[in-house]
Parts: sequence; C-alpha cells; structure tokens
Amino acid sequence: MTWWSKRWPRALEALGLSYPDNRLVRARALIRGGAVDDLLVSPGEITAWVDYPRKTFGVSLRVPVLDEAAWAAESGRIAARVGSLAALLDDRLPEDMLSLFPGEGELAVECPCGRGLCVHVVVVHLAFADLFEEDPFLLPLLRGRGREELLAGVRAAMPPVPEAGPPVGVAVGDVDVAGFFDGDREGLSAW
Amino acid sequence: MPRTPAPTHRLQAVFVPDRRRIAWWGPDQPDEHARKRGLPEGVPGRIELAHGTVPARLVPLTQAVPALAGLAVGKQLSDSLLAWRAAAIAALGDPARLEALAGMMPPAAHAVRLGADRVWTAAELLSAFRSAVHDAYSTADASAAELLAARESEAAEAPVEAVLRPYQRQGLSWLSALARNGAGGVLADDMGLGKTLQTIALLAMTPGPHLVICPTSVVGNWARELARFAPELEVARYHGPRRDSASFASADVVVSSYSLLLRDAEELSAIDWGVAVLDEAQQIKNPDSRTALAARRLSARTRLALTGTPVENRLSELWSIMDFASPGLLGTRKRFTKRFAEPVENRGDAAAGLRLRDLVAPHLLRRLKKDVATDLPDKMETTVACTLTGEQARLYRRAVTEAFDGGLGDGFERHGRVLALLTKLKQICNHPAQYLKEESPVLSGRSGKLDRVTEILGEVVDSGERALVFTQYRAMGELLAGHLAAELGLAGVPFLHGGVSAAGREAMVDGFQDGSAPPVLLVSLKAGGTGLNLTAATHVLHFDRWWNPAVEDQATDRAHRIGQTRRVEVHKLVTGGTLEERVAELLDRKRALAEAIVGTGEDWIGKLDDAGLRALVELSDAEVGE
Repeated sequence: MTWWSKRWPRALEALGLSYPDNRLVRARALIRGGAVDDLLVSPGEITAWVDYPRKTFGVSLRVPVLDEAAWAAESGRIAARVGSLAALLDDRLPEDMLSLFPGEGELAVECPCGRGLCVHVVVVHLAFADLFEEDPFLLPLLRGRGREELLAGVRAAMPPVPEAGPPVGVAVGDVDVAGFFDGDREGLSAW
Repeated sequence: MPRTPAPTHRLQAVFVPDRRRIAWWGPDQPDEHARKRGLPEGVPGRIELAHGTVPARLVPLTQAVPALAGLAVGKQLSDSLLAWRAAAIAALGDPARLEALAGMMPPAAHAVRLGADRVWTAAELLSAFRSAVHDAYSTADASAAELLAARESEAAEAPVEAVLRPYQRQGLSWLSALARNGAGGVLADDMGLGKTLQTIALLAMTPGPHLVICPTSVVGNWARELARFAPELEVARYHGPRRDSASFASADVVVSSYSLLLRDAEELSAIDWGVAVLDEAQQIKNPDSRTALAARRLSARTRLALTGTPVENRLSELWSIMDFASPGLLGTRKRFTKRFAEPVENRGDAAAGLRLRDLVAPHLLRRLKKDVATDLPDKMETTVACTLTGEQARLYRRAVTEAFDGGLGDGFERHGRVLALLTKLKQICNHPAQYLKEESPVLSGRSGKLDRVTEILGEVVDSGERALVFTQYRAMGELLAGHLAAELGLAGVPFLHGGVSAAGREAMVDGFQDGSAPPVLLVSLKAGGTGLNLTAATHVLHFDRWWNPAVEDQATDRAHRIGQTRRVEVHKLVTGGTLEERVAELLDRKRALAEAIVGTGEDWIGKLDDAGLRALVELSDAEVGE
C-alpha cells in the first residue's frame, strides 16, 4: 500500500472513528462483496451508492474546494522541490501534499440512514482509498484541480535558476588521466 | 603520462550538456549494466570526453534523474555514478547543495569536451545540470502536443509514386513529426491500411540511411514496394549468404531480416541510422528475447515499429514494443507492471487504462478499418511477394537445370514437358513438402509463402474476421488444412474441393457463413469457382496463381458479391524471383492484353521458345532467404 491511501482513512477519526472499530471490518467485507456502485469523484465531492442491507443508500462525502489564492500557495510549495513534481509525474503523491488531506472539521458526510458515521459512509470512504491508491491525482481533483491543471500550476510556480555564465572549462591536458575514475568516494557515498 | 585512461568495467555516468541527457558509458554494453541496476537504458549514441569519442547510452533527464536518486549505494558503483546519484538527489531536493559536489567528482564524471581542446569543469557542469533539470521539469513535453496535433493534419507533400488517401496523409504528417522531434513511435494501423506505403513516404522525405528489419518472408516485398513507390531511393538487401555490409555505404535504405538482426547485430548497430523500422514488431513482444535486445541496441534518430496487433495477449507486449520505439516512455518494466499492467489486467481499472492511453497517445497511431471506411474502396487487391527459402531455391534451380539439360523437345511432347516443369516450379514455390510428396512433413520455416500466409491469417483471425484461401492443388490444400489449424489454434480448417459431396459442401458453406465453423475456409480453385456464396469472408487469399485473371476474379467474387456489405481484401501470393513473380508482372502490366492472350490458362507458356521460357522461369539470385 502507498502512504497516501493508508493515510486517507484517518480523516474519519475526526468524525468519531476509533481503533479497533467494527465499522472498518464490516465496510471492508462489503467492498469485497461488491456493495459499492458508481463511485464518482468531482471537485468538492465523492458520491456513491451502497447496497446494504437490502436497500440502496446514496452517500456523499464533501471536502471544501481550495480557492485561487490557496492553490497558488499550494502550487508554490510543491514547486519548491523538483522532487515533488518528479513524483507526481510518476503517479506518486509527494509528501508535501499532505496538506491537501481533509483537516479538522473539513470532511462532511451525508447518508439517508441518518446515523452520522454509519457503515455506508465508511464503505464509500474506504472505496475511495482503493481508487486513490492507484491514482493520487484524485486528491487534488477533490480539492478542485485536475491533473493537467495541477501540473501546469506547479510548473508555472517553479522558482527560476540562478544564471550561470558561459563555461570556460579547463585545458584537456590538465585532466588527471591517472586518477580519471577516482573521486571522493567516501564523501559521495555518504550523500 | 598516458593520454587515455585505463578501460573500465564499471558503469560510468556523465551529464552531456548540449544533448541535455545523462550518458552511461564505460563497459562494452552500458545498457545491460544500466538495466541490471534498474536504471533506464536510454538510446545508443556517442559522446566526446577528454580522451576521445566513446559509445554511450543517452537518457533524458526526467527519466535519469529520479532513477539515479533512487539508486542504492554499493561497492560496485563507480565514483562517477555515485557523483551523479548525489547530483540527482540534490537536484530533486535542494539544488543549492550541488555546489558542494564539485570537489568530490572524478574527471570521469565531468570531462566532457568543450570545444577542441578544453573540457567542462565539475562546477560548470553541475551548474548546467541544475538549469537543465529545471527546464526539463518546468516545461510540459512540447513534442507530445506537437505529435498529437500532427495526426490531425494532412501532410502536404508525399514524395511517393502513389496517391495517398487522406488518413495516410495524416499518418505521414505524424510520422514526419516524430522524425522532426527525434522521437519514436508505433504505427499500428489495421492490416491493409498501408503501413508500408506511409513508412516508405517517411523514408523518402527524411535524411538516411534508413534500416528496415522485417520477417525473412517479406524482405523481397519491402524491396519491391520501395522500388515501386520511391524509385529514386537506393535500396540494399542485407540478406542471404552473400550479404555484405559494404553495401550500407551507398544505400538510402537497407532491408534486412530479424534473423540477421540477431546474427549481425554488430554490423547493424555500428551505423547511425536515420530511421530504423521494425516491421511486424510483435516479433519483439517478449522484452527478454535476444531479438528485442538486439533491436534496442540499434542506433537511430527515429525508431518506428509497425504492427497490426500492438497487444496480442498482455500489456507487457506493448511495453516491449514501446521500449524499442520510445525508450523510457513507459518507465521500467517493473514500474509499468505495478502502475498499469496489474491494475488494468487484474482489476479492470479503467482509470489506469486511460492514464496509459494518454501517456502512449502521442507515440502510437492506430486506425481501424471501420474508422477510415469512407476512404477505402470496397475491394482492395494486393500482391504479396514472398521469399524462397534456401531449400526451395535448391529444388527450384535443380528442376530448371534438369528440364533444360534434358531438352524440351518440340511439338506435342514439348508442350507436355513445359507444363510439367511449370507444375514442378509452382509446387516448389508452394512448399517443398508438396513437391517432394512427403508423408507427415515438417512445414514451418520451409516455405516463405506458407509462413507469410500463416502470418496474414493469424491477423485476420485475431481481428475476428473470416478468410477464404484458394489453391489449385488438392495436396497443398491438405497440407494447409493441418498446418493452419495447428498454427492458428483452430479446431480444424475445412477444405472444400472436388471430392467433397454436395451435402458436405453445403454444410461447409453454411458453417462458414453463420460463424459456427472456423473462420478460415480452404477452397480448391476448380471446385470453388462458381455457385458458392461466401460473403462472410472479408479476406481472400490466392495461395497460388491460376494466371488467368478471369478465373481468379471469379473466385474472389465468392466473397465480393451482392450481399457483401463490408470491404473485401484480396491477397495474391507470389514468390519473388521466380516464374510466379514474372508472370504476375506480365499480367499486371498488360492486363487487358493478357486476358486475351492467356484466356485459356497456362497454354501460352508452352508456346514460348527456349530462351523465352528460360527468361521466364530462371531464378534470380537476389531473392533467396537464409
């Protein structure tokens, strides 16, 4: 499992999930049994149908969408490390995007059974984690930015590189041929 | 002091600023060393270091940097690889730390030529690396957008002696965008849409020399199509026992086979090709095969894979073909499996499938027949030239020599002898086992024609279509029936010939038409000439030729007749360099006239004198396979 799909279920803690929690076990069994239909992710909302018991419940989970200013700050932070962008391009969620996970009071849930943190909600929440595992871009999408938009924003926010003058080089004759392959091995290994 | 450092068996790394790539170099086969360490293999090239030009593998930064950063430190790593690992970690995390690396780098990590007598210093190279990494990540892949746009527009010019259809012009526009960007691709159009023609147009408009690697059975076909569509190109066949790599020097296009790609890998990878084409690229669907390794070792500005079936069974096949065409695009095989193959194949994950499609889209062009249906005529005829095997060539030469040495006589006797010779030669072209009347023979690999037909039918069956195969010979039909059933994995291939009862015929026709029988039906040309309605077929193959266009057309019309709503493709098989090809050319050239002359089948050949006959039947040298 990836760190981000492991991290996702913890958003339910704010709504009263504790460990061990029987709802997690039952929800897993329901997902395996195919109780979830039509799970859709759109900016601000995850919706799905849950068949249990003998009736279908339309569940929705809501998270606030970030506004332009918040996205600009977010993009700037991601852009500060090239490694974060490299991870995204490899379909991995960089750890500095942890801030996109729902914070205290951000996750709102709704289920017609009306029992707050019911098993239906847990089912949809965990079913999302399964999709999220494969596609880390679902989290920024939930927060309002699809993959291309996110990448374009991050690229635009990359800080410029200091200008280097034209290379001067050294004369070929000054190259240490005898020690051609030898560097500071210890220093490099410790990097 | 020696001017050249001692040879090294450890993989070395260096950043090449003017190519903006990381290069692996040092050992004889840096790609294998890279692969063993989980690093991208890159494409072959040459780099200039302090002590001279060395062969190397070049990897784009967005592939090389994350891979280097993830490399585990070990005793076997060279200092230059350690240095660029450190540089990659710094570039991804905290680029300011790059400066501290300069003092630790060995010359092997930075002594790239800078003009005639100078080399880059470590500090300068690290600074250039920093800005190149920034540029590589801060700009989206512009070439991807250009490639996607190119396939929507039609190439204005097509330097071939043919009129390209609109979708072929779009294909050419995409191919030339690949070449412009030094990118690679997979042209995966359905069979019959003209992959060869589009490719030849690209070769004609791109600086060479070019290399075409194809199955032995179609080497002759490629050479012939090149001569037909782009006569100004100098074509060299690198093929057969008397091949000579000296012919590369003067050629615009070298045509060779997969078996030679293996055997003469050294010679073929010593040249920097303009475009390297792999025809029937499913031959490299197994990435561990020696063929796939040899293909990846080819050095070319543009790599193009042609296949009608980019994925036959598993997604890993696409990985392998794409890793030839556009190395690194799909990541390492392990990562590809985790990211795409497992989600799509095991869990039916549609989102992963879409992400893979988006990633591949700029580099893969696939049009289906139904997509371009309005561009196509309702009947398409192609002559498929096949290559004789060595065994066939020996038998063929011997039969010709024996016939002429023994004397053909004259009058009625001559007529009989000539027809006997023709029959022998046609049987040899079909298959040595037919000619030698072997009992339960081995069939694969002995007849270029049989191998080619098996390939064509494999594609037909895979795409869910149905085919009729005509032959004049009962014996050949029997051989084909067993062979095709085994090779194509069919329960059986029925053979409709004169000895089949009327009820049996009817059952065969009904089964073929309603889909309850296997998708291939063999028909004896004599039995199947009239009265049958086989419109379920969308492909018609003439395994051997009657040389009477009217008879062939009548057979073809079993499929292409009223009630046929789809396009019918007609494949006429001809063995290159033999009488089959010469008669076919004669017929094509003067079709109208020929119809008058040869209205009674093959009798006219019996009226030729010795010289005329010899010119018609004698085997030309260049055509023989291995």
